[in-house]
Amino acid sequence: MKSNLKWIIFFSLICALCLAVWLYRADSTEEYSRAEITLDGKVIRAVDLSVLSVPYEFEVRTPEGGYNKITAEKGKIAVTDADCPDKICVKQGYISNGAAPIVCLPHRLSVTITDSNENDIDAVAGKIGGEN
Amino acid sequence: MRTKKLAAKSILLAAALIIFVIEAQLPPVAPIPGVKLGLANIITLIAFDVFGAKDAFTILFLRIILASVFSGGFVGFIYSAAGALLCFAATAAGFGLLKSERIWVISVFGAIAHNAGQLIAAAFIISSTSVFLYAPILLISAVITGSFTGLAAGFILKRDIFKIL
Repeated sequence: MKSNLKWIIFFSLICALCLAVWLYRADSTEEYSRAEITLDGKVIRAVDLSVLSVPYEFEVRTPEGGYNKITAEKGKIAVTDADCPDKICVKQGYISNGAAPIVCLPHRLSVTITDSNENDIDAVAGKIGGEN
Repeated sequence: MRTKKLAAKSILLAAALIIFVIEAQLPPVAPIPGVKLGLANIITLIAFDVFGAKDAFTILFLRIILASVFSGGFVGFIYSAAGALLCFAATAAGFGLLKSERIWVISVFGAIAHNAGQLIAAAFIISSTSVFLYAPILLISAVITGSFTGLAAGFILKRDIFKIL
């Protein structure tokens, strides 16, 4: 059983390390507010989550007609509806930091939250919902 | 004697296929792409131990093809195949480097390789590297599910049901 113990400790350390990395990423990217919506590798839309006063909804359509509905609110964003087979993207719920993206694999869609380091935010969603 | 072995391998293939298809019908354990129990790998591990790498590969390969035919389509096939190929390589290496008693360890490495393969396939499919952010979570998931399936395979192998071959 000593050999088993060695491996149990090894894998436990790996899990602890992963957990630490995960929590660190969640914490260190908490202030990020730029949500990027990427389709087939190209950023098709960027939303500044910090200026939203009311929920901002929009649809993304793939060339083949697949659809995802994305809802952005102050500080968070989610895929709230989709017509993909498994709807894992919908079940994931909201993300509010840069630790993990929301991915819809069949639609080649990726929603990530990153640093606001560019000035090309093309969807100033605050204006649509009514300015604060 | 060859007929007996062929029949046994066929039963393993059928078992793996059934396990895989049924598991695909279960609601996802967690809303994270790639987290799954991977129960069909129990069969692959058993095949490795009883028959060896070549037969284990044949059973795995046929299972993936048949599973894509029954449920999953072509995209499902690419995704499955990528994970399974890396998993097979890691499992083969594991059986070469470790004793059979550590089958649960081999299974964990196989599960890690499987998730890695799927992450790489996903990155290509969506043309984005953002999926790799899931790596820490998938690694933890692989350790847990790999341990479970490895233990299950170990219990089945202990029963020595294949000694009739």
